[in-house]
Amino acid sequence: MSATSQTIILNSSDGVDIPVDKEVATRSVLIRNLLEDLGDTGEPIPILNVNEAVLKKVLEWCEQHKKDPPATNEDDSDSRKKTTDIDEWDQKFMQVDQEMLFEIILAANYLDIKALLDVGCKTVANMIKGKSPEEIRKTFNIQNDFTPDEEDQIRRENEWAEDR
Amino acid sequence: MASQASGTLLHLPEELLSSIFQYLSRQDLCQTSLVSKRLYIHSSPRIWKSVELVDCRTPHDRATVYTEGDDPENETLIDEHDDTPILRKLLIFAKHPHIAKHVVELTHRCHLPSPDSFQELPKMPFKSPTISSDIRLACLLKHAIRNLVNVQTLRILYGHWLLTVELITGFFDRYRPRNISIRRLWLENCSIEGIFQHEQDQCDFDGLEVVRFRRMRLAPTPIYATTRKVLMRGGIEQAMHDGKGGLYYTTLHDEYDISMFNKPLEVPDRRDLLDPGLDEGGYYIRPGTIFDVSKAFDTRIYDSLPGISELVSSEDGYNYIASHQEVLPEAHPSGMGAHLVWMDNAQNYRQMVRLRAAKNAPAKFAASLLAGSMATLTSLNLDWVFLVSHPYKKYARQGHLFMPLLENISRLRFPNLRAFQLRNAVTRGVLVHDLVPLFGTLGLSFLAFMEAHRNLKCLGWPMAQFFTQYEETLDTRNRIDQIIDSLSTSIIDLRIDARYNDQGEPHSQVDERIMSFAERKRRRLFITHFASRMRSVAHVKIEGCIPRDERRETLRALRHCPLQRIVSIGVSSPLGNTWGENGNDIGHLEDGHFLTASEFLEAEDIDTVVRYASSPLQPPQEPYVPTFGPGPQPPMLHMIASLHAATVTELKFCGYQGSPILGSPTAITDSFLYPLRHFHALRQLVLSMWILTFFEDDWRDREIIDYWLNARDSSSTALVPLSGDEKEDGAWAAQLRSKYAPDMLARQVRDMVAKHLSSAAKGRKGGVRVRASFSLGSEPATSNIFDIDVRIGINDEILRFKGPREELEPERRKEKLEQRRWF
Repeated sequence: MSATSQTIILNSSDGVDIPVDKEVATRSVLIRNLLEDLGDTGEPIPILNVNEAVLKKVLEWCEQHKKDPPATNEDDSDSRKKTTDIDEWDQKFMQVDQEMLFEIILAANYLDIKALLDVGCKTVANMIKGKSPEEIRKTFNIQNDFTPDEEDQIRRENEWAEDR
Repeated sequence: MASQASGTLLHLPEELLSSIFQYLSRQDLCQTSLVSKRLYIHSSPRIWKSVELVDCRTPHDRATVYTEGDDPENETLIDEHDDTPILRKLLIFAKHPHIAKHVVELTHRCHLPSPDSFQELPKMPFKSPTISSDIRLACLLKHAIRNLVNVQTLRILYGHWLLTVELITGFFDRYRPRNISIRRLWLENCSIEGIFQHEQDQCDFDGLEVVRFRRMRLAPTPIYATTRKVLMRGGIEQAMHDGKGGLYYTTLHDEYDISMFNKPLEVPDRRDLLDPGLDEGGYYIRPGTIFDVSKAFDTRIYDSLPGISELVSSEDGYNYIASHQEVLPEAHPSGMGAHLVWMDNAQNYRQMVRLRAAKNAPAKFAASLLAGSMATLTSLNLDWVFLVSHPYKKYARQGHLFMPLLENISRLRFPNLRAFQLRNAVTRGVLVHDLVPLFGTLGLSFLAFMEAHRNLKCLGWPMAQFFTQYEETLDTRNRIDQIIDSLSTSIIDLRIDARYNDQGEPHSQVDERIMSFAERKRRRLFITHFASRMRSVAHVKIEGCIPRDERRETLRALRHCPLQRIVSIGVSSPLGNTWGENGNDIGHLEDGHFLTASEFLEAEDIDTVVRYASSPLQPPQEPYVPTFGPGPQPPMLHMIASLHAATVTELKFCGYQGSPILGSPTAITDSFLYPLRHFHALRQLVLSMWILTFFEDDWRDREIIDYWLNARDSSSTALVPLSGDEKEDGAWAAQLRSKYAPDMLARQVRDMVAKHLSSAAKGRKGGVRVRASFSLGSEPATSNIFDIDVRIGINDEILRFKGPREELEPERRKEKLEQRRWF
């Protein structure tokens, strides 16, 4: 690895060229694979599914986390406990409107940035935790499409699933 | 408001919803499932992925069932084994295939604490004929299993006998509709006796990858200890260990033979039995057999679950009985209306239970299970199982072998086997015969078996059973050599044991009081001829009565292995005795009442221990020359650090006699722990520690345990149990808070250990997790282990702590189940 940083250009879905350090961009497994497959031609790399605003936001995260060590197996087994702890910086980073939050999650999934995807999913999970169904509906603007009977039925199933 | 469809929770693709839901508790998932249809569809799989079938304890208001006479002494009747929660879940599975298909892991266990391994396990046949003994349960289970098409893991942890039998024969039925076969089977604290031949013939075990038999009988004809403990409903209550240092009471029967089926139940008052009054639609009480009691309870249970009678028809009962025509040729329906047909079915079913109860041969069934899964099995674990049916010494002298299961296994060949464990260090009667050598030709030899399985990654075997003490022929020696050569690079996980002894482990075996010299020779052959040749072992576990010099030499012999995890468990502290010879250095503690047997503790060579503590590490010697005997040797931790400090991430040393005393460590303790500073990669350290519980003329174990349990239960306000005497309470309450409160315990653990830990290890994210393990009980015989986990970071800061928790604490139990390697 050379010490000098190398810039590549990403082309967002809405056609905007975004220059970025290769080290930062390759937090994305998709981009890393593309670079390996295509070779470094200097041509902008098209990112078909992510628009400029979201892509810039994602790259901001990648910049912050460019020095993170790669995930180890051990971390995996630790995260099996499914803690939803999120680093302070990431928590601030995720303080965006819901539309952006879900766009980031979709982009992280598309670009294959596992650590960012995890942070996004944990953020949403934390928004659900401890809430009643009605509160969850309010939070995410979801219509209740159950009939009262269906709701009753599920409530009873859940109760029976719980008891021991 | 979200304008774009993609930017809302509802429109995330399925796999992302699932990624989010993985972070939610079951309770949160249940709330989520009620939000909308789409969220219901995607949360259900997680809600139902892992299901437990657990019964419950139900007090019945006597007034509702008791109509004849009265007994003011006893206002409630307790059903200790009410299956209602189990029946409800089965009902959902039977009625809703779309839910049943989500179940991947199914676990059945009795709600009671599992029996104590040392004192209770040998007395338990796990064969109660009156629990889960209604034919409607068997029929309902058949309906449910038909829909449980994706179950891959079946665990029975403390099994009701009849339910155990139905689960096994049901899930392994070769004609069962399924998308996938059961891949993992865990049987523990249960009985697989009484499975009829025609049921076995219909079983298909192909597809099984992992099998664990644990704490159960797999002997040909099980004989039980003279005092037995059979779980019952109704009858006399007796004490059992509660797994939290004390006792609880439950209804037990003292005998197990066929006559029990006809005997009236022994109760304080014979009128206490209930029987359903079928005609009156109510209940009345009359003397009856043990069956009558459970029948009365079941009638109430099933009456309150009308969904079952809607689903399970009398015809199901008839079909069930008919499918057992081979054992019940006389059974027939009365043809006089559904109600009476049910009674016939129930009668026939009871007859079948009698036949099952008379039948043994669990070893035969286990052998056919293993033979049937030969092609697919990757992991076979026999963990504290009873393999011999006869008192072993008597038959050993006559040269008999009574271990048909092991004989069978030795003849089987599993092309995919990667883990093979026989761990039997514990209970009397668990021990295998003197000679079951992996690498010898005498006794029940596993030589050919090992030749066929020379690529094992995990091997667990009694340390004294690797070799025989006799000279083998040149040809045999060559065969052994080749197998070990292959294993030397394949084994990553090695577990050895020897039977525990109350006296603890000596520094070195110098006489034959506990073990024979032949055993010593065989154990040492393991070290010099097997351990010393290993190259890839990453995890090693040494358990039971293995002298300390042999533990040390085993770890020295593994000098070329990248050891990451070292576990050493005994009765005495494997690190060294901190209490002095015969416990002489601690006589002053607990006001001179120090309780534990310490008369077998041997003196340490204090000069050597102190000198080595701060001396540089010693590189391994080549060639490896073992040093046995009581002479001065580097202390355990110093030796391990010298050879393995670079790779070790986890150390576990258990054994209470002579262990470091929390809060009052003796002078030598620091010298034993000093070499911890060399372990820079250490993530976890587990240490037995002694906790002092004597205060003002009494041992306070019970109060301390209750204090911990209450502190854990945040809803409880009565943190300090008080006697009423204000002055005494004040002093004891202060003592509890200053010494035994979880945060104070965590500090004392930190104070003892943190200063010895490597700064690099403490500086890593999450620090070093130190688990201190204490043994407490209302009485010595009811002692249980309680652990506190303390994460220690840079500058010896306590990052967080958890506990103290007993082994059966639900979260711990779950962690242990899920994280067990090789299942």
